[in-house]
Parts: sequence; C-alpha cells; structure tokens
Amino acid sequence: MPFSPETLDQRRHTFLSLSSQIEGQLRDLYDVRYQSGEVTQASMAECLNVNRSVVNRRLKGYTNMTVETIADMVWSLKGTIHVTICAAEALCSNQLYANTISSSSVIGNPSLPQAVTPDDQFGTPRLIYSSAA
Amino acid sequence: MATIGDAVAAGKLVAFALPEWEARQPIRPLWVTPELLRWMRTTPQLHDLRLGAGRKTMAELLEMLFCDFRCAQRFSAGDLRRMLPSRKGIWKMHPYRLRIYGWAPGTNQFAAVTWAFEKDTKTNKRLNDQKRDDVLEFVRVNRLRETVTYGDVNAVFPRDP
Repeated sequence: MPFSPETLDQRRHTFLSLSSQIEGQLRDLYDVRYQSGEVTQASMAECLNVNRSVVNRRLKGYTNMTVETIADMVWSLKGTIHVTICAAEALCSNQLYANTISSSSVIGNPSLPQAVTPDDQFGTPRLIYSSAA
Repeated sequence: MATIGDAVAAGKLVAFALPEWEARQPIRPLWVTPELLRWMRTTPQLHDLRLGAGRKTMAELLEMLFCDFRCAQRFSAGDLRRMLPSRKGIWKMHPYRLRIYGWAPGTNQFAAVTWAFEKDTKTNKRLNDQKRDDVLEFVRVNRLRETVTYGDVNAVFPRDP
C-alpha cells in the first residue's frame, strides 16, 4: 500500500505513536544521563549484559522491544515509568497532557506530576519516563 | 535572491507536516521537496515490513526520524552528518538504510532535497558526491544560496533550539 499518513489505519497509528513515545523518551533520558556523565551506551550495555550495538539499535528504534526490554532500558538509565491506558473518549486528562508536553522537558523535571500519562482522541497510550528520585 | 518562503510558494519545497499519531509539538522547521514525498509514498521497498526494522517499514522509520527532527528536544547529532567539503554547507541524514540530503536554511532548520538507499552509496562510491551536487544545483537554480547556513553541528544545530 502506498505510503501516506492518511492511509495508515488507527491500529498502525497506535503502534507508531507508542513506539515513538517510548524510543523518544528513552533517547531523551539517555541524553540527560549522558550529558551529566553518568552513562554511555557502552556502560548501559555492560549493565544489561548485551553488546553495545544492541543498546544503540534499541535507542534508535530499530527493534520491537518487549515490555521486559523496555523496563531493562529504563532501569539501566536509572529512570522510572508511569503508564496510563484509558478510553479514547476520556478527555479529562488531555489538558494535563497538553500542559506537560508544552513544558521544556518531561524528563527529569521534578516539578511535573508523577503520573501524567493521559491519552489523545485515538486512545493512544502515553508513557512518561522520569529520572529516578 | 529568493527565500524559503519563495520556494514554498513556488511549490519547490513543502513544509513537512507531522503525522496524526505524533503527539509532540514541533520546535524545528523541516521542508522537503514534493519529489521526496512522492518517493516516500510510492517506492515499494519503503513499505515492505521485511526490509524495515523493529516491525516498522523504512518509510515509517524515515517519517519517525523527520518527526524527531521537528519535535525532539535534543536531536541526535549522529543522525545528521556534514558532507565534505564542509564549506559547501550540505548535510545528510541517516535514517534506517537510507540517506537524505539537504541543507540548513537557518539554525536548527533543514530542507531535504534528495535521497538514496544506503546500499547504493556503498556500491557506487560517487553517489554521495552526486547527491551533494544535486542539492547544490537545487539551491543554485532556486536562488537560495544566501539561505545556506554554514558551520559545524554545534553552530547549525545547537542543542537547545
């Protein structure tokens, strides 16, 4: 089927959105840790007992990570995970999410609420990783 | 001399629109040629899941990279490389198994002009140079030379837009 955002179905949207959020937030948290000199891809690989290229592929989104793998990556980055999956028609938390996404960063910001993970109109799950306290 | 706005008005470039599934707000502008969009839509290899990675097609991975460029607080410098000779101001992006060539019309901006498959750049050693020259020709023909922003990755794509 020819590529076009319009032709992608909602099932695919949900996968791409979730994948993009997970990988994007992992990269952001990695960047925070890397800039502070706390972690490198090599140190993560050693911590997880895998090859460095495996960590690189995960951060780039070239693997379809299992829940366990995602948890491992967050653990190796000294982060925490908050997940909320709710009904597509649940609108109450959208404003909270909009406020969060417009802030400078959702990673490692102590001023953020601890469970800011509402969905959008498509019922897309939201995940937000934060630095471990 | 023309501006990016002139090139957009003339249909030579279009602003890359974020897909419906992208939840983040854009913080960097990205323009692409209509030919590049057409290639993304119509090239069968780009839509073959077996040729992609992580259960995503190459087209989806490319689109995710474009989204990341537009939205990520910190875009990976590893995904953007300055082409030689650096005085020409041409850059390439490295999506999965692909190469995208363009230039920076301003700080933290990118205009993508042309493309190649990574494997073709390995077998044809002159392809990267040809693509670089294609970008330069695009800039010349559309009188956009004054928009080319020069410098290293820290100057052209500083970390905090």
